Amino acid sequence: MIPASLTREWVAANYAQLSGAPSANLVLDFTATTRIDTAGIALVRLLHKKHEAAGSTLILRNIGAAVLSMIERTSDGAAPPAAGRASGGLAGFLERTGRAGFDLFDLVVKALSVLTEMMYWGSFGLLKKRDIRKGVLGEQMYQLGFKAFAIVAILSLLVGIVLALQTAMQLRQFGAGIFLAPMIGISMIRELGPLLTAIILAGRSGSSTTAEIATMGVGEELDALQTMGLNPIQFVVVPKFWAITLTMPVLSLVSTATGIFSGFLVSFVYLGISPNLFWVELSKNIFLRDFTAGFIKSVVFSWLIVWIGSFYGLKVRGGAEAVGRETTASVVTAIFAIIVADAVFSFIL
Amino acid sequence: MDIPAEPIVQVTDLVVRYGERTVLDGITTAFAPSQIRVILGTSGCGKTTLLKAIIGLLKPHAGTIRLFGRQMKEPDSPETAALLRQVGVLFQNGALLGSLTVADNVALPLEMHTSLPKKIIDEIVRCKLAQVGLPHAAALYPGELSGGMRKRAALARALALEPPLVFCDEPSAGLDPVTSAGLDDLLLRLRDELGITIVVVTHELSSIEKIADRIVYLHKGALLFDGTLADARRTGPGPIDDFFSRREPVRRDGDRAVRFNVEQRV
Repeated sequence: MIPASLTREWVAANYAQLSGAPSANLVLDFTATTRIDTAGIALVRLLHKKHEAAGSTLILRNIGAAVLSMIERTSDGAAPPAAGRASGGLAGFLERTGRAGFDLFDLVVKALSVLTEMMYWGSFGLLKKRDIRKGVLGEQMYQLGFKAFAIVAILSLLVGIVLALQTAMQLRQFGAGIFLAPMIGISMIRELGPLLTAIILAGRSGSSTTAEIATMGVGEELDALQTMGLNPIQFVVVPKFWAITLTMPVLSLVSTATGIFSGFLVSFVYLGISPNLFWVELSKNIFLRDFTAGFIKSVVFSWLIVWIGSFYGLKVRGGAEAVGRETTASVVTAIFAIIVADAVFSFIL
Repeated sequence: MDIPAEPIVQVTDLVVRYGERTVLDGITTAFAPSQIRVILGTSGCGKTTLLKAIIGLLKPHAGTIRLFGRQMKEPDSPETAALLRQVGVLFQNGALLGSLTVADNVALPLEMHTSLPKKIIDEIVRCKLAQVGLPHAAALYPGELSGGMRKRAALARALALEPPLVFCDEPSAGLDPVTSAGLDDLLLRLRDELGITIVVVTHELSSIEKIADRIVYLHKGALLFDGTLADARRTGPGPIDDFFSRREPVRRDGDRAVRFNVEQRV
């Protein structure tokens, strides 16, 4: 027997009792019921679906026209889509795994498509059409590169000091303090300069790339560009691609130089090594191939940052929440990809 | 169906799907030049999808779209880009580029698609902004504009290359009645003075009554009516009658998704 008011309090108290596996037809007596709220409607709809699925029947007895009307009025097209709801057991596991596999494949294809388009429209595509505003490259170099100058320099200086100090303490025990110069030089040029710069730019410029492109997508600005006959990749992504490609090696050099300078400071102050000896030892052990390795790394890292930033920006669907979510994902993925690439480079360069 | 001899837009058997869901099912229609054609229907019926398919933002599953007698190809193809340069689009929220001023937004199509000198472009921008009643907003950014101003600025951008065909997606949405009426007057002036063909997606009755030369009524992804407003009002009981009578759709047989077993209705 359903009470006079089928409301959320009654539903909360009686749901467990009514929602067991349906074994036979269930009769709900609405004789006394004059009022129903959404929780009550949801209960009736849920029981109806359960019984329908089990082959039994839910019978609404003596239901008032007004109450029935309220239940029916909210029932149009209400059935949730069957697709996407995996069943349990092994079949469910396989279905979920398969679906996840397809989703991942789709994601990889889309990401590679963005990379291909970015590379094409940023190189050969420029011979075909040039949907790039005048002055935008300089603007992007300022935004993505120059504005990161101070933070790259300061962080590299601090990391350099920490690294040099820790190393110097160990080297001093063996009277090998002089090796600090080549050690800090090689590690900054080949490894830490490009890596530190890339991680800072992934957090700073990569996130701003994702957020900007995502906001443009949500606000239909990318659609608007397309309807103006402009290629959104060339208009939005290519200037960033070139800006970061051109500024990243310079920022890497800044990072390397400040890192080495911090090593010099530590060796001079802490180890008492003369400036002249430091620079002689450094220049004896640094070769052009070290600079080449650092340069190649910084260019590849810059492409990873702009590619991943753009891909996550272009894939945003939804509103502001999606923009925030994809921006976070973009930064995490970019840093991960940079570190993986750095590990790969350690073997081949 | 009454199809004009030389339509500026011709849609034939258009089918658009989102995944497995069919959003537009076999739409065939044609829009004559220098008319205001209103695409209408209740929310979710496929109006904006039809507009997006026509302007190449959605790839149709089947069917053809011809603009100015030429068939639309892949969304990214140069042929589509060339066709779209003859089309202006006013998006629902304006879709002005947030990083550019209003003047730069309006100048963008001119800078990208013409070789006009900067001074001429600046003058054209001033003319276009005056045309839409925004002569003093040139230096403002889109974020500093009201909803109505943003739409006017977006219309100025859509008109920058003086296209013979303009699409407007819900131009009155979110606007007060006065601003909305002003925008309708502007569309009428564009049709009458410049002979522009305008396709408007809307469900604002007052706007439809004021500007529509002909209407296309969509219902659940299908084309239910294509003709004049007067003829639409004479269609008798059904979704179109419900729409113009401003009433909730009458529940008809087959509409109910869930059927309950009722014993002794009281």
